[in-house]
This record gives sequence, structure tokens and C-alpha cells, in this order.
Amino acid sequence: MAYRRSRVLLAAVATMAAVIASLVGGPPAAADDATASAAHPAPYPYADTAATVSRTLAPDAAAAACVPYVDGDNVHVSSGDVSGHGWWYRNTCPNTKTTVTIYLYEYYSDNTWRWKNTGSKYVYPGGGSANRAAVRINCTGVVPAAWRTLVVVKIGAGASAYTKTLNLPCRNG
Amino acid sequence: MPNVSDSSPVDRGRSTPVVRLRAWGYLRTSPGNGTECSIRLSAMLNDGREVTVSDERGWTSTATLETLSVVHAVGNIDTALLPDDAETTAETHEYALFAERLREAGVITDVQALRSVPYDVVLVVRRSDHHDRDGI
Repeated sequence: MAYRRSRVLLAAVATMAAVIASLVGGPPAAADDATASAAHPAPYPYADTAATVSRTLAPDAAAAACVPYVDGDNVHVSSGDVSGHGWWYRNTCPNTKTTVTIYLYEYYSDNTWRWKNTGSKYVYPGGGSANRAAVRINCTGVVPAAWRTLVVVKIGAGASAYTKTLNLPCRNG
Repeated sequence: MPNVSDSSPVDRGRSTPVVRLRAWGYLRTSPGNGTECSIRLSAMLNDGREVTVSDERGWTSTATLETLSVVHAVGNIDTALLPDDAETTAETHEYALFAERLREAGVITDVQALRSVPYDVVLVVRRSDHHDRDGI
């Protein structure tokens, strides 16, 4: 990837992050069945602040097993779809390919997250257009609903992370 | 959107060359103790003004703010800004969308012009303890 970056500047700004974090509630449980009940897609009350990161290090994973960093972009609307991408960074892992899987979830009014689609790709670490897994699904309406993805990286001990929850002018329900 | 950074009106129809594209990456610790980043992409104009052309993108990482490298953070910003069809077009930014939003702000430009301007990234670390820091 060729960059035309002339410089990278680093600044520091103090903020109210702790206050924001204190307002964040835990995510509702995910629902496996996307067809049951009359619930409908809905905005999420804690959107924009409810990024949840989890690590799935197995309890018996040897210390020697590497732990990758899991990365994912904010879900966004593009060409009538909602889409997201996942990739990984080495951390303690070798510079080799592994499988990145990304699951797309939409929030419903019955307080559940419902799976909508899955994408997967066998990629090197570092991201970029050639090294990211993508997932998307079409928007059937523009009434706001909440979306997020779960990114799972298989290498070493494995790891996963939910991306930031965002209310978008898109629903698929 | 688009948002002009100062209060002076933009002269509609006036050609205002874009001299630089700048991605501002606002980093902070996520509620899960990883890192999250909100990205604002701005067009810097030759009269000193700045027009925001994208603020919808961002990323989340399991890397903590303390372990996140500059290369990692900047790489994630570049990846998060890629168009969805970058795999087939090799385009690094959504230049057509940016040109459209600039035109809405009265800035006359086109995709070719935007491709040719320098691009840089500024990282801003937002800390909850109100202490500035020099690096990540």
C-alpha cells in the first residue's frame, strides 16, 4: 500500500472519557434465532459509547501460544448496504496468514442482537485492502437501527472483539 | 456535513484548491480496555480553512492504548478509510464522495485533484486522567 503521508503528528487532548465510560451499559444478549417474535430492528440506547472488547484466550492455552490483536472498523452504510471489516495485528504472533471471521449483528426492540451475515478471509496481519475480511447486508429501510460486528481471529490462542455499536439509517429486519 | 471549521462563509462557485487531506484520529481507551478511534477526514484549503469531508469512520482494537504502536494506529486509520470496493479498485480513499461533499461546501475540485494532494494523519490521544502524553 502506497501512502502519501508527509508526516504523522501526535497530539494529546484530555477528555471526559471516564465520564463517558461510566455511562456505558453492558450489551444485551445475542439472539440466535432471527425469525422469532414480532420484535423489530431498533436503535441502541448506548450507541456510540458501547464498544466492547473481549478476549477469548482459552483457559488452558499455553503461555507460548501467541495472542493476536483484533481490529475492526465501525460499521457504516455504503451503497445501500451496511458493512464492516475485520483484520488483525501480530502482537506476539508470527507474520503468517490466518483466518479472520466477521459476524454482523443488528439490534432489535426485544433487547437482542441478531446475527445477519458472516464474512471470512485468510489474511496476513496489518490490514489494508488485501488483508481484511468484509461483511455486509442490504438495507431494507432507512429507519435507524443499531449495528455492530464481532471479529474473530483464529491464530494462536485466538481472540475476538466486538466493534463499536452505532445507530445507522439502515435496517434489515 | 460538510463542516467548515471557521465562521467565514464559503463563496459558492469559487475555485478553492485543496492543498492537503488530513485524517484526524481520536484515540481513547474503549470500555473493554482496548482502544477505539474516531476518524475525521478534512480537506485543508489554500486559504487556511478546513472542511470535514468524512466523520463516519473509526475502528476498535484489542490493543490497549499503552501497547498500541503509532504504525498500528495509523495503519488502522488507513484501513478504516478504505472504500468498500478497494480490493477491486485499489483506491485508497473515497475521493468521489469527498469531491461531492466539497462541492456542497462550495469548493470546486474533482477526484483527480484530490488524488494528487498530500495526505497525512494526526493522532490525538484522549485520556481520562487529563494528563497529556507524548506518544503511544
